[in-house]
Amino acid sequence: MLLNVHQLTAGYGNLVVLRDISFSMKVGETLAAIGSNGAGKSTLLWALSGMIRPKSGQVLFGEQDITGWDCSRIVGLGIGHVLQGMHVFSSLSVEDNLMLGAYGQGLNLQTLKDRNLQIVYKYFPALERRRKQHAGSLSGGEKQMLAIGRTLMCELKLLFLDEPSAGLAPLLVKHLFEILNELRQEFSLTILLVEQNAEAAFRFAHRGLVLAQGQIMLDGEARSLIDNEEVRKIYLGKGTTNSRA
Amino acid sequence: MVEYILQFLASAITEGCIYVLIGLGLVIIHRSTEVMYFAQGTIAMAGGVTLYALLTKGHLPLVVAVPASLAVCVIFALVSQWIVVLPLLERGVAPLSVSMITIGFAMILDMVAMILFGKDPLAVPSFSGDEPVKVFGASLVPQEFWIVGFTIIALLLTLLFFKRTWVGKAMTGLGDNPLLARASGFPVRRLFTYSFVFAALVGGLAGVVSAPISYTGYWVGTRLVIKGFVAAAVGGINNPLGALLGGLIIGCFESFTAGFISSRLKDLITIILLLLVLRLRPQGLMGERQ
Amino acid sequence: MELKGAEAISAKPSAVVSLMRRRWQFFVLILLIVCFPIVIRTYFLTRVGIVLALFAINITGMTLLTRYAGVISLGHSAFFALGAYLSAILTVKVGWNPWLSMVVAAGMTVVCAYLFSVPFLRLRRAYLAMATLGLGEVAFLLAKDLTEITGGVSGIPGIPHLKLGRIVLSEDWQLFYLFGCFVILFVFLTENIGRTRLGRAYHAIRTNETAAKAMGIDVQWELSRLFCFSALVSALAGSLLAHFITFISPESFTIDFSFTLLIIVIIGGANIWGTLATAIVLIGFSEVFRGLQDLSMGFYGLLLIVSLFVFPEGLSAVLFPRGYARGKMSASDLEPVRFDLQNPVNHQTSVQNLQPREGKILQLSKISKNFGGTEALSQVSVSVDYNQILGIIGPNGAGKTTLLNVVNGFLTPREGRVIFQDTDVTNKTPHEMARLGLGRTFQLINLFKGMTVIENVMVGGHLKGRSGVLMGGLNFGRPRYEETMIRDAAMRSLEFLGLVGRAYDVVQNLPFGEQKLVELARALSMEPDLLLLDEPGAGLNAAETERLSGILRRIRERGMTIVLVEHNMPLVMNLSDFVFVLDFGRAIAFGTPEEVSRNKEVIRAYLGQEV
Repeated sequence: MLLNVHQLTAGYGNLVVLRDISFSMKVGETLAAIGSNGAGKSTLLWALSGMIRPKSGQVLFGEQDITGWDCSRIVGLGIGHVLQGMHVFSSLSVEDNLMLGAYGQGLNLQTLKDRNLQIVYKYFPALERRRKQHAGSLSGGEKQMLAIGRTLMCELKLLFLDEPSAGLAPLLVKHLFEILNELRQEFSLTILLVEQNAEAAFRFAHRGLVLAQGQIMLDGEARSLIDNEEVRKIYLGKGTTNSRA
Repeated sequence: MVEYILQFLASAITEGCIYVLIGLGLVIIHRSTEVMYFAQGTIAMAGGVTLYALLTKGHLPLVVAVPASLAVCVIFALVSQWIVVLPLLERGVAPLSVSMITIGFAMILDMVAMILFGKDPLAVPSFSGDEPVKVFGASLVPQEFWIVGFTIIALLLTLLFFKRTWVGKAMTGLGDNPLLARASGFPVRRLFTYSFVFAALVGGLAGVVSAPISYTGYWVGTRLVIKGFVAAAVGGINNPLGALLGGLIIGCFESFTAGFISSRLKDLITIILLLLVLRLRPQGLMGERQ
Repeated sequence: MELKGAEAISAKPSAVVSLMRRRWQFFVLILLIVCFPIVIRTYFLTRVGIVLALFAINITGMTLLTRYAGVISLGHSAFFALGAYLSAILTVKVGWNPWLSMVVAAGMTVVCAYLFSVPFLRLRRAYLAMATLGLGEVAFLLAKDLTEITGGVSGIPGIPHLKLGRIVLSEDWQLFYLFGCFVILFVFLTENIGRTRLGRAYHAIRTNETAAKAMGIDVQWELSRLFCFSALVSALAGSLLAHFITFISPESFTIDFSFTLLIIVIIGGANIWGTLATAIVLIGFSEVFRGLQDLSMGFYGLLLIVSLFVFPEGLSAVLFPRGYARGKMSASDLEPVRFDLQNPVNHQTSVQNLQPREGKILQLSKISKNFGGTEALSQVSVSVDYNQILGIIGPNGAGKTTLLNVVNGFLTPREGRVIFQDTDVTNKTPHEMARLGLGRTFQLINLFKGMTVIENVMVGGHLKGRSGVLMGGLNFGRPRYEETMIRDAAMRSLEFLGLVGRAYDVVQNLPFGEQKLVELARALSMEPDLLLLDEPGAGLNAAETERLSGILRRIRERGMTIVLVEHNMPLVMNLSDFVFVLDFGRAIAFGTPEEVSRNKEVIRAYLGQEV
């Protein structure tokens, strides 16, 4: 097990968004967490990547207990978090954005330039073409690629993707998922994907979680969750179930 | 007539350089922390009075005294950052309130300076004599060349720092997108510290290099920070280039007002400019609407 | 005070004793002022007392402005100076009677304050603070430079003393008593303001301006009025200063003065008594050790920093722990008011019943709204009947909250119209909408931190009162009546929601689910016709959601109309009469919950599609 989450409870201030979430991920697995807004999807990623401290529960990365660790330490372990909304450093160049993905982690500068950066350019040639451009001038899809590329700079093992398809045209989304597929095969990436577009997410993932009101309602093989009546019910509220498919 | 204009322009540039340096420090700190560091002027003053002490009492050569004075500035800035600014920010105190508190820190330092150096203006020897030099009809003292020269060097180094070093780029990124900086694992606290060190260096430089021209003393800090602050506000509170622009604009306003109208009105003009900018374009000429 | 009922008398101590117990600080203050010149015989210390009194007068206005309303002013020295200089000029150069000059000086200062507030008060806090800094500097520079009028650096000498009838007030003890009276007056006014409707409004503005607007508070107007009031107070103090020293010069009106005021208010904390105590300590010490006068600013700075670490809430919290910090209401405050009532308290345990009405309470037609390049809402039309519950659902980013904000007045649509109760309200501001009968709760908790539950709910009743700053300060007659009305409405709301037991708890200590109910109670005490609820079920567990559902149904039974944005599907589907679905800013469905949940478009919007 690469990631073990046990009875995680998290929220903001007084607000509890996630209650007693438990699940685990194997190396190389892609897990899609879906649910409507307020279900706690983003909060899950934030709590796991160190952006917020969990209120209770435990998070294990391999053997290491990383509960409550700060972002800078977690990034050092090879865990990357792509925030929702295509975030980049607008006034810096594409290449600077990428190189800063490994800032503060004590990695060798030359190695970064020769190896990690080249890998990013190989999978995202559009970024290489625009390497000297200001990141603020990129299109939405390119920014998203840049955001993902940044995480690859740090010996990535576990990737958190927060709604990668949000705001992108369907064709771009398709392209993006194709690249992600290649990347995960090449580097045995473990991916935790949070999405609103449930159907696309389930086709990409191996397993799926359906969240509602801060709890896991369904946990099962992604294939079985596509076109699933239970999922529909949870989304559209005609009855809630707590079954494990 | 042309000579007058050139003379005023010369003093505009000289004064402006000082405001640019102070304002630059304010901008860099504000960009990462959203705190308006009102102690910046006092830090500059600290540089000036330390230089005075080292040169006249310690009889140290200039080459040693200047860096030593800058070091003192950095120490004061670090102390304020570790004891006051960062703990309060981490406790969730609003940046505006923290800004008010830096005023308190400034006042303490002013008092220390007053106790140590008294209330009389302190005369600091010029770096290379006082013989005026004629440039295109304008009369300039050598120290003014030092001011402009050091400012240009400082600006070039700043440019290099932010454009070519990873630390500088990380600090720029932090100012751009604090959320992403955190998620990328930036050592945010350390980057804040660097902002303060940077501000102390440019502010200290301003204090050191202007001390020989305008007497220095414990009151200088307040005057400098207000002017530097107007420069930053006019130019753009989060944009280093804005500080450059703002400082020069303020310098010109003051110098030409003093020259053509009355020297009594020059401070007034500066404040009125501030009020106008705040009303019409609060983010400054080069700032982005927030 | 009229006592109603024998039971009332026998059950409670006499009204006077109770008054003294609650307002003991006043009596201490009055005692101090009366005794001070008698006990202190030295000329020097009496002078200190006078300076203290002048600072105290300034402090009252600043406390309300900075601590309550959160406006940081670094330029009150300008008003202090204006009052002093105008008084001086009018008496010395124009020859008017000092009392008349004082009044005119105060009036002119208020006009100046108002002129400043119009362009600058709308700026964000930080920029406003900078602008006030500029104001203070301008005043100082003008005092120095307009030598014709102000005497320049030399100032204006020969200012006559004040006269009471035939007594010339030239003795220090006389002046001290006079100033003391002003201190008592202004402390009285500001205490009353702080404890009642306007004080709550200022606190609301400081802690959550958005919610304050939604409750009907006209933020610009209230801040402007308060700013002018504090300017008036400072101006009066300035005039008094002029007649005390009989000579003024620009030195007294530097930025140090403004900083000192600000520091006293910050260290002193949220309560007038705390700031007074701080002023006594700070000014007292610095005056007594006048040899160290020039060190005083550094000393203040040190105290400021130390106090922020030792007692971050300010001295008030140390002196008056447990809720009195803000002059808050406690249970004992409730009783005396009963004695004052013209009418017996109306303790209906229900929210007002509204008359049933026909037709459409709200109509949105072709609403479009952009943010930069993105179209958040596109040609959205929907209408709501009276007494209906409409649920608005849609995926993340669909524009639901944007729609609520358009109705509420926080946003103006690029196109389209909003018609509320047959009035076109497309361009109305949030506080105007509140006045028209619109209530609102927010997505995340938007309560006013630092106030108790009942105080929060009473802000909802803000529009039931109309008393201004001066009337509110005197707290006599109409303001008291309004206060009772507001408290009654608030209590009724709390009873309706079962929260009476929590009334005197500070709101941020409540569990999350109860905080949401308080926000609902607050909206209810506005007695609105239409309630806009933004994700009322967010963060609630199953039991709390059930409770909420029941409450919303009861609210509708009372005649209110409800529009709610929700993500909790069971809640919204079971509760709503009709459901309206948005996706990417467009309306994609409208119908009963049944119809909508079977609608293919809706399913696709939520679950996505094969890519």
